[in-house]
Amino acid sequence: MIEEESLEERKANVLIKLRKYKLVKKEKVKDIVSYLIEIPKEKQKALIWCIPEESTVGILTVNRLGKAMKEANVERGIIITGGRYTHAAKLNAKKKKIELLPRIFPSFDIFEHELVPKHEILTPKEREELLVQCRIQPYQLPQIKASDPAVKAIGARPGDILRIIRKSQTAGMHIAYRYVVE
Amino acid sequence: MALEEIVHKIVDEIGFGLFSPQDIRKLSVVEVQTPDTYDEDGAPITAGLMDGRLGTLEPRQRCKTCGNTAIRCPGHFGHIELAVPIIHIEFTKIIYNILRATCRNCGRILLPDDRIEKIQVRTNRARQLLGSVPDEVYKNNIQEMIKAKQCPHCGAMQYKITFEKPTKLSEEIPESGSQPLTPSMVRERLERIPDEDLELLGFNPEAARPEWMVLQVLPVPPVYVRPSITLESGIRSEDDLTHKLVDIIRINQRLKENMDAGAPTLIIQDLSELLQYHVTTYFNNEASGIPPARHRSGRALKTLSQRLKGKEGRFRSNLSGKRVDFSARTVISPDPNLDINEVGVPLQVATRLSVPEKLTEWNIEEMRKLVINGPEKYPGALYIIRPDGKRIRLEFVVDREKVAEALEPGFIVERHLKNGDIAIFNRQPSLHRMSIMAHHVRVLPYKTFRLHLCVCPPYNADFDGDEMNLHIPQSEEARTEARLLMQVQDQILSPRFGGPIIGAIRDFITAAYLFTRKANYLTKDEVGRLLVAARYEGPLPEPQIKKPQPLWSGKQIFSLFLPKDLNCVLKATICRGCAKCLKENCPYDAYVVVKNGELKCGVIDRRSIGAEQSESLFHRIIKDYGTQAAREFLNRITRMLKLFITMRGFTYSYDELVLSSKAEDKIRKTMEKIEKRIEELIDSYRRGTMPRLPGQTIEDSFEIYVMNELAKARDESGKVADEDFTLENSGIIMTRTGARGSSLNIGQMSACVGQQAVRGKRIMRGYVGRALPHFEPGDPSPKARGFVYSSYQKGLDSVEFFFHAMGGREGLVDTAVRTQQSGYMQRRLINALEHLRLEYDGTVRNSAGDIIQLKYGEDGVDPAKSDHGRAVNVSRLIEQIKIAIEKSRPASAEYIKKRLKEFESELTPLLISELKQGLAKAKLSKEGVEKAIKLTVKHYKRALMEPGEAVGIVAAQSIGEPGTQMTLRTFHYAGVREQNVTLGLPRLIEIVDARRIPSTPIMTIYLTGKHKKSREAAVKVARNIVHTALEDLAQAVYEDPVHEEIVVELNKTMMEDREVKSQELKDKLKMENFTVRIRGNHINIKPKKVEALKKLLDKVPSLHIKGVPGIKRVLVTEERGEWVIRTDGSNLSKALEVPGVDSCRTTTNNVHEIAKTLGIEAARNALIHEAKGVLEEQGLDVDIRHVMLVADMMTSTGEVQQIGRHGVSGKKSSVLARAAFEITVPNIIDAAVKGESDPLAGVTENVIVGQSIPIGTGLVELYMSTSELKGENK
Repeated sequence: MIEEESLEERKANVLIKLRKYKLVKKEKVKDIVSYLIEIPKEKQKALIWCIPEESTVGILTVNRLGKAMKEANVERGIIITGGRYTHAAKLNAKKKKIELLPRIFPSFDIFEHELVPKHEILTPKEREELLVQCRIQPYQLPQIKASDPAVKAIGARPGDILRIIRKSQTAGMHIAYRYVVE
Repeated sequence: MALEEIVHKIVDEIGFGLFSPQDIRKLSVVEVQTPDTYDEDGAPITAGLMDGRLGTLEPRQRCKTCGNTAIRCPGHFGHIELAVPIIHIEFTKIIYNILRATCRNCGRILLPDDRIEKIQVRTNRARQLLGSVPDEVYKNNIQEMIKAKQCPHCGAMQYKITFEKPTKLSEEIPESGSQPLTPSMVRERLERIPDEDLELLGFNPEAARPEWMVLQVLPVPPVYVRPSITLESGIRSEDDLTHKLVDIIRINQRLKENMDAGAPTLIIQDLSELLQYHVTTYFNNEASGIPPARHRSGRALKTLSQRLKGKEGRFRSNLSGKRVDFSARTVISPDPNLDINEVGVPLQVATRLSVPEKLTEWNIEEMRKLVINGPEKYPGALYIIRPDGKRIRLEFVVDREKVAEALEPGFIVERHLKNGDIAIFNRQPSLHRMSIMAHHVRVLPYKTFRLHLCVCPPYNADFDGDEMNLHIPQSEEARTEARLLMQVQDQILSPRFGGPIIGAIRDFITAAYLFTRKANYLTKDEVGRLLVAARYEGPLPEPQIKKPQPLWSGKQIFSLFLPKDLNCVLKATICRGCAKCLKENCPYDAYVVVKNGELKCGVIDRRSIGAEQSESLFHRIIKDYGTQAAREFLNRITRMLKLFITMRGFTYSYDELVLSSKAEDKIRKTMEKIEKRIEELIDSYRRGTMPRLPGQTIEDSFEIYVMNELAKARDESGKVADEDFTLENSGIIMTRTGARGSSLNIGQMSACVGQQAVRGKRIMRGYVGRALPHFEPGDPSPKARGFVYSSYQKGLDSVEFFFHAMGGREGLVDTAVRTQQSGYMQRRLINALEHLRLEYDGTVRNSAGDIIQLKYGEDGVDPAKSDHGRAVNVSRLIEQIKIAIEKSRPASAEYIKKRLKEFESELTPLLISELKQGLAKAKLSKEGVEKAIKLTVKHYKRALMEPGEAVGIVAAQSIGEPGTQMTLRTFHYAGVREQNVTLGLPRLIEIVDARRIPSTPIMTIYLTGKHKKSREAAVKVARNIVHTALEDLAQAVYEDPVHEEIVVELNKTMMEDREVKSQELKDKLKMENFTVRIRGNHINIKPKKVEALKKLLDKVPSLHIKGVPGIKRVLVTEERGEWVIRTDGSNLSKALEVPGVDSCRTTTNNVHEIAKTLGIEAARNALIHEAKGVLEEQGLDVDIRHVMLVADMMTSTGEVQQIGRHGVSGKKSSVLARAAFEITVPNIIDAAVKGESDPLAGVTENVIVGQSIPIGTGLVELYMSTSELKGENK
């Protein structure tokens, strides 16, 4: 089976597209496809590693990526795999600012699915306006888990507020908000 | 007038916590020391359980503590000093956890300091981020502490502590084995835990120190809590609690004596255990691991826990529901002469119920008369209340005239009910708000409550012996609210679907049809009588036929009651749904046209004036002319139609059921034809040539085929019967006009009753292989398995009758089960949503102020004020303007666009686009456009939900109420005959339960590009989806002990079927530690280690070869011009990754799976879609806003939560509300430990403490900003 693109690469592409990352360099080392990207919003650089499905991601891989990040002088790292993560890998990744993308992360743009409305992260100004207008603390909004696929896709973090643009049967269009929690 | 000073206290908050021994002693008025209650004279013994200082039960005695009489004394606690500490049974779990989480030596929690600091930081962060700390944090903390083997603070080794139900704790010390932990040891350990450490365990040390969970002092409740009752024989019988306390004191005394006497430890230990038992059963007599304490008669005692929990417990029976005065209950009966707003009240009831009326100089004379009449003679009075608050009971007054003379303004007279008073009328079960409505009283003779027939649907009442309740509001405020909000005419439009729930039923509809059909002409005499009955006072129209005598058509007379400018077009119920509608020239007169208030053509039937019909003629009247006009319209036509049908007469007689001989012939032929076909089926079944339906056994397939044929037989014969009768047949009139019954009923009565089913199958139960001994075993003929050839008219033979009774029994059981299930679902829905209300800013929030919806129903519109769900009926509005406004130059498209842009912020996007389309088509002038937009805005604003509205309760009722109408056990075919889906009530319950896996998981997979175009391509994709394990390809899997390997024999046809090639198979089977050889049809798997062989044999059959795990079957079908795959089993995340699958449309009915793969927002949409789908499939009209609210509530925390105690209801902020729902006692215990307090912001809590609820009119309060006032003063 010769595939033009592996599942992990497709996932990486979707991720780059959805989070509006800028691709700098793509290379292939052995099994691992690595992307060097720029995160425009935070002006950081990140390394994305795609690890094929068969292997389980252990602490070794995480450490290797950490090393690679240091060499390339990159702040953040992302691992994409169809395989499993070991517990140790999960613990270590957080320290090294490496995000482990869950393996159910879809290889297509979930926002194209008819059930999924558009999610956007509020800017600090919009956020302030919303909280003042509703006279609430952020936690009084409906919540959304940080592990939610839609949150992962747009790269929101706990504490962010999302704007959700729903198609509505009663009003035509409706804007809802959700607060990202852990 | 002197202002009465009313002490008005409001409970702001209720705090929960534990009593310390000091608290208990401080609270106590007496130390109870003797187990006796009364002495020989019946006087309470001092320091006994009935000590006078605990309060008094005798009406005239004064309490020895507070000096009040029985009514005003609140009761006082006593206490018992326990000889040894005793563990409180409800806290054992918590004690166990704390003991394991803390050091046995120094009492610190078993975490190093740096870790404690980290947890504190994290907890604070969570508090900042979430507003509160979730329970899981503490749970995780405790879990982490339990793992420690050694105390990080003092270095002491920690031993394993075991807990045995109910209260036994012991520690396993390595050298000396298991050592029991006595309550005093437990208490000592708990005392050592510092306050700061407790906070990490979720304790609030100020409200609850852990050592307080071990009792040293036991509070004795006041006597009011455990009153003794005197039986008729004069013997006193004590309360269960008193009995239990007697036991406790007795053992306690004995223990004390023994300890003082220095008895051996063994005796002390035994007695301590006995005391522990008695205290345990005193708190909870149903604790597991302990035999319940019993009364002498053998009945288990009802102790504290049992008093609180369950349906008959304090919470649900006395606190959430309360008994009332000023109410009446009797049988109901119909009265078509009443107004729909009225209720007939029997005279006897009217003389027992009273209304307080304040005397003024304008009513004093009338009141004097009432007082003179007294309580017996109608219109009279029952009581007089003087301004000083003294009540005079007129029954006991000898000279009433003198009392009447003394009346002065300012007195209050409690007079009999009279016509026009407001009363609240109710029928249980009160499933929606229209089950309780306000009526005007009409005092009538005889003994039943009378109501208008049109209000039967909202109450779901009939007159086969139903009883209803009547309540008389006593305060002016209550009466006003009832009149303004609850009156019947204001409840015509149901909030469930935005249409009228009140309307004509049964004979009114028959009469309306007979009255308005073409053949009906009336003489002047008849017209006169009818119009007088309807209280019509206008002029008579020109008769339609003038010679030989003036005759009026029914349509003409009916038109007299329609508003003069009403325009409306609709299709009647009798419409046959012809392929090409002839409209005005309809041969059945089913096309109803009302033009300028005149019924031009068409007959009036259910579609026009029936109850629960939206967008009907009646609906148009109420929307355009208001509730008053609608009420009058309904009153008038029902009175007239009643007289008309009385004059004409209407019966359905036996001979109207008899078919013509031609039809009989036809039915016989159909039956013969079908029988022949069934014989063929039986034949092919016996010969084994019958094709098997996928996923079914041969037997089941045969049954399905036969059932289909038999259903066809009944339908066809029913159709023959239905067509044989004309519209002159009374039965046909009723079914076609929608008055009663269906064509199925006609068919069953006249042609053939059809198949009787038990559990959705033909009747097979009974004897071995046969249902009845009349048949041979295994006889598959229709007759032998419950097919009823006869009709009800001809009568059933004995065998048929027996089968019919079996089917009928199942129907009855089904109804009983269904009401229970839907009742519980309703209770859960109500409980989960009751505290939601619409705030002044348009948001929907719960009692804690958290937002559930930013805008109610996404457009803020009240379904009750909507037009069948739409905010504004734009097309109708434009139509009306078009008629009203003179034609002139149409406005340009740019102008319309520009004007609409200006109103964008005031209207919903949907209304804007509707207006845009409507206005472009209507070609209105500038003036018209202006008016249309203005009116739309006005109507939209008027349709908005009002602040304070209990949107949650309305939503819960709107979903719960139709639940009773749903069918149970509906398995329905989804598109394909072979696939069953759970629908109806079970499915709805599944959705609100948020079950992890639905009972029938199903995916609908859409395909992309070329795959959806052809069947072959679709099947190819399907093969990659269906899960194939090795056993699906194998004929046999067995162990070869000689070669020490597993042999799999492959089946070629199955492999081809699933398109698996042996090369592929080889790739898949590559495993470590095994060698795999494939030779022709055999696969040999040899493990490297022989021991693994047995394990391998279990594993091999389920080896994954290809496809998506979890997908059991696939079906490729064509739907709306494209090929789709439906699957049995669901695995969305994997299925979406399969090439050829359309990742934009593919869905599943497993909501959790959607939440996991597509996110919570997608899950919300899926929930709405699924729930709405179930309701629609059952033909139930429920506004989508209600479903949305439920879905929003279920997804508000970011994961799909159940409506019930494990989800939404369990996470309510109020302790009392949670305790009142389910799991009462543990909820209160947890609240005490955490030191929670209930801010009384929700509904149940306030009902419990007896305050008005902060919803609707109860929300209105006077707020005054004190800071601003201060500013002014400066």
